[in-house]
Amino acid sequence: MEAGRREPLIRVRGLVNRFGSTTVHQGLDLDVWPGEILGVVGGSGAGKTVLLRALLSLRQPQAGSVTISGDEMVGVAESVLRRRRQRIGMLFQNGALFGGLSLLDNISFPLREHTRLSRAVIEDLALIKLRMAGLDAKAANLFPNELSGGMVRRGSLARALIMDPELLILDEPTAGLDPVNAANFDELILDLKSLLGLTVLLVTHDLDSLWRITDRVVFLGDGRVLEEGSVEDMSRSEIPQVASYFKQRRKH
Amino acid sequence: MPRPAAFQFSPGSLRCEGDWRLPDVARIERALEGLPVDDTDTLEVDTHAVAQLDLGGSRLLARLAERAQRSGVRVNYHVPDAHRNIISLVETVPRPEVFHKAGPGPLGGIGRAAVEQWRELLGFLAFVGETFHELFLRFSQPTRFRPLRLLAEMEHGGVRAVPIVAVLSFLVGVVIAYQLSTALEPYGAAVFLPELLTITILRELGPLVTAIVVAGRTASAYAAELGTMQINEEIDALRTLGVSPYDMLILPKVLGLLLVLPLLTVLADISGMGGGVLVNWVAHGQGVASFLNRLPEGMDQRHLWLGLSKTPVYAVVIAAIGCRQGLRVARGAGGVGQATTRAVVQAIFAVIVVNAVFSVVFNMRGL
Ligand SMILES: Nc1ncnc2c1ncn2[C@@H]1O[C@H](COP(=O)(O)OP(=O)(O)OP(=O)(O)O)[C@@H](O)[C@H]1O
Ligand SMILES: [Mg+2]
Repeated sequence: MEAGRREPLIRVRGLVNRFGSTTVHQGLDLDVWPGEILGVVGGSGAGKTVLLRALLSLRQPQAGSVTISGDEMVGVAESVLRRRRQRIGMLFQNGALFGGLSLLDNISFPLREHTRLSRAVIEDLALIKLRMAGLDAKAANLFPNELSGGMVRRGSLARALIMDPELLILDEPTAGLDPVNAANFDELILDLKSLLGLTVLLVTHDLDSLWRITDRVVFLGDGRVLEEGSVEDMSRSEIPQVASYFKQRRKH
Repeated sequence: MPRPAAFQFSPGSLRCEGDWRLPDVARIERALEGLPVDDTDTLEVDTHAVAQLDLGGSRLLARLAERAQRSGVRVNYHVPDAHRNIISLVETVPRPEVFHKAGPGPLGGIGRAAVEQWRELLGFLAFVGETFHELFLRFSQPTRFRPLRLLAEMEHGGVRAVPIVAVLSFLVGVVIAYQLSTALEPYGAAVFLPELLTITILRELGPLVTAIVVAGRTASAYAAELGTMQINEEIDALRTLGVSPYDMLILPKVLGLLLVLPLLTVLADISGMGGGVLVNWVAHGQGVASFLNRLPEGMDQRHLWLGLSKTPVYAVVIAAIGCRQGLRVARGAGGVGQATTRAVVQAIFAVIVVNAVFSVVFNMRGL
């Protein structure tokens, strides 16, 4: 890695997350470097979604620190976080589009909240993002309950991208998409990355996706990062949990 | 450190500087819109001095270029390679053919609202009919009743409402007693307070206050619960698993309310009368004993039964409105919040209308 990239965009140290007596993370350390696409894998319930929520400070961890571009995210006032979160686009596992707003209003919502751009420009930008996310302009007027699962995914990607974030966090973006659509979605992420210089943190169970787009993969288990490296490294891992995860997935 | 977005303009040339990034770039939108770009034959746009350019910033440039081109000006971009892709992304905006659907206009709006209300009424009646139909079907299959669900609903709708119903009706009793006694005193008729209180509270206010409190509490809770389940496809899941939502959700709610509303009303009657007794004691020095002594004459049982006879109707109306609004959330009708609001408004409205109908009917029958 060249000099100047040594400062990680996300730095997680000693993260501890507990729900009652279940410990989800036990001293988790993680670095995400600028400009990379990092895949996060791990069995169901390994704490991937909880990790993402802790990164955005949507939940308060029991211990540990999270910094994003050098700014602390843990234990910071909500008013400060609001500004910091604007630089991050998040795609939630189930889309999380606002049911009462049309797709266009969903996408333009952050712009209307956080900028003083005129309506016309906001509308232009939302429609452009809609196209970038691979949706037809006709979908703009539809409401979330009138969209298919894949369209919801794309719509919420468009919303995650609307503020032109430096960091894009995706929670299982291709789950439930057909293989062609999933491949297209991956292409889309690659395109966006090269166009906008994004850093991407991607949680996925889709091995094809991992091979296609990630630069590096971390495997979560036992409350911490068990293994990290390229996808090839992973499939050759000596840790039984990791090896079996990748072997199991290989079969189909 | 981000540098503010800025530009230098001289006729025929625009030099952009700083970071053209959201949200900061919004600051210069106005200034860009105001630039006189139509005076020259060509416009040279230079972004070499822009350190960071995002889609928001480049769309502002694109709009400026569109404006110039509309008045016949040629626009030449001088941009570094890093900006080329981004600028080409925002050059055209994909617009849907029909955009903002035209509204119905003021007169049409009134018409639509009227039809909408009419449909609501029909839909409500249909739902009540359907519920009773389902209920009667169950009489031949009593095993399909769910006593535990029924008890749970009775606890949520009834037991938990005890404190608020008791306190509110007590306060209403106090207020009514004060008003009545100030009106009666000049005529030296304060002794009739117990009679008047009995009529007002047992016949009208006890049932009404209870019904309104329950309408606010329970109709909204039903709508929210069923609405959320509907959105999460839980109700479809129930159906798929071979369980009727009537058995599991709706009938227990309707029956539960049917059972607890009369009980709550009796409670409201008692605590409302308690408020009256308190005022009678504090203001007129008439003790509890003398109040109670006067009751047997004043308290014609009629009023109690007339008051209680309204409560089953209230119960059905409230439960049916709550459940129906919850189930309607289904597709497109707008979120759970709206359904909840609609349920409360309709339930309270319906309770008051039903009460008025009862008053008229009772009066005509001379009750
Ligand atoms: N709000 C909560 N309350 C209690 N436990 C929770 C909560 N949220 C998550 N958990 C627990 O934390 C663990 C990790 O959950 P998480 O959602 O992060 O899993 P995941 O790795 O994203 O799994 P999947 O791949 O299935 O999405 C699970 O055991 C879950 O039961
Ligand atoms: Mg998850």
